[in-house]
Amino acid sequence: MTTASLALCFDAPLQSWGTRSRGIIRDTTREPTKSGVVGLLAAALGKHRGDDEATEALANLHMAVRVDREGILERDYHTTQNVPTTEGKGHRTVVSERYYLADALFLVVLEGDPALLQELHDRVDRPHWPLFFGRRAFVPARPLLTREALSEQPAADVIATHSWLEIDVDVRNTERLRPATDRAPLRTVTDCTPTTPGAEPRHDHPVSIAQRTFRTRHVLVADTDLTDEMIRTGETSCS
Amino acid sequence: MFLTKLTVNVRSREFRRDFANIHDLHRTVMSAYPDTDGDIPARQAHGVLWRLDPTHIGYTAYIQSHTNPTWIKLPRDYTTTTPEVRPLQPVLDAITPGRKLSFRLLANATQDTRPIPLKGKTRRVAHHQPDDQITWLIRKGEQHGFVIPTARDGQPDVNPSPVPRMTGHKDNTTITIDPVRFDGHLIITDHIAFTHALTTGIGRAKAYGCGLLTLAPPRNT
Repeated sequence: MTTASLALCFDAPLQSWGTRSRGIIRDTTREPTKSGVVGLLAAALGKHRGDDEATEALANLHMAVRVDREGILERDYHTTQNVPTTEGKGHRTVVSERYYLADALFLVVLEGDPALLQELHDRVDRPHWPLFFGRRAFVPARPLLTREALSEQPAADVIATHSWLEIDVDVRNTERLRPATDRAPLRTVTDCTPTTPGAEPRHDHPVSIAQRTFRTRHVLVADTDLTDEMIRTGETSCS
Repeated sequence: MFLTKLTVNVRSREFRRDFANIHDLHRTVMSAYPDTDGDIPARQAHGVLWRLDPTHIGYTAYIQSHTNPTWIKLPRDYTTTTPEVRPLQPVLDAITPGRKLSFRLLANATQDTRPIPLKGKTRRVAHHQPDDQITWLIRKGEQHGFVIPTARDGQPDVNPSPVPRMTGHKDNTTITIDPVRFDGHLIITDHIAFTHALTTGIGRAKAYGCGLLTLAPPRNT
């Protein structure tokens, strides 16, 4: 089986990727979670939440994330009024804290079975159900497929060479004029084995979406250089 | 003593990186100060304390130090205006016992857990309940020469508000800080202890934006 990779652009005014949320504090991590990405892809394919085989097939894809623009973490004070009590008598107001990432931009690369990636490539543009980033209201700001979406490179190479997704002209020009040695690198979060030095556990590998069960995967947080080629080549926008 | 006000450009890539990694933000702040030799860490040697305050359009950073900072090493698009540096002497002169001031403090309010049997080690955990956070601040006031007055409702005249968790990486270790922001009034009881607290900071995580006490005239006189 040859390797193939699918690169997706996650751009939205708001995104939220919770890993530990139970109850009234809804947290977010600083990059997309595997369960969130798997859920989004399953929605594109039209797989039901109870379809554990589809979940497993998608979760077994090797995922690598490049943070093209760090998001700003914001806290939302959120109230829901007239929530019935568990006894069914009377109503109460539920106060919750909801965290989200504002203005974040990610390159999400999936590596694995070429047939599955080809199917995903075809369906992400015409999804079965609407796609969103962590919460129903957080819809994509531009198409998910990048111009170089499908490739035969491994995910690590795509992360290191894929053109920068930033579209802010001021930010792009600032970086283009800056010497390459002065540029801040791009943060990457890549799936790895538990024995890799520096591996961090993340409890977001979905086992069953319907049962909300997860197991732990391991990621390596590293940096990749923002090279001249990544800023210059091609248009930044998606296809 | 000097106080700098930086109006941060939130579209700057360097700021976004620093915002995601509190250790990088610490390094950017420290880039304004010369290297020190000796056993004392550079932050302590220069008496650097800082805080990142959210505003309705972005962020403002306040940085206080003994040494006069030079902000030329800051990335070019890091701020939207030139850094404003002013001496802190008027504030230090205003510290007299019995004086009431309004203040803001971002603090890492923590407690040690009970020692685990046989292991004997304690773990530091953050206070999450507002009552515990106020109790923590009142205890710090006893150490640092100030008291929190009682407001009209009979409660301490201070408002603790939650702040998003700050995280970072330093040499493969993860930094996690759950700070709390206190806005309120205080009355100085011991001006020597209070001046010391103002110049050296209150509580833990001073390298990561906690402990800077900023003062202003009281609001309700």
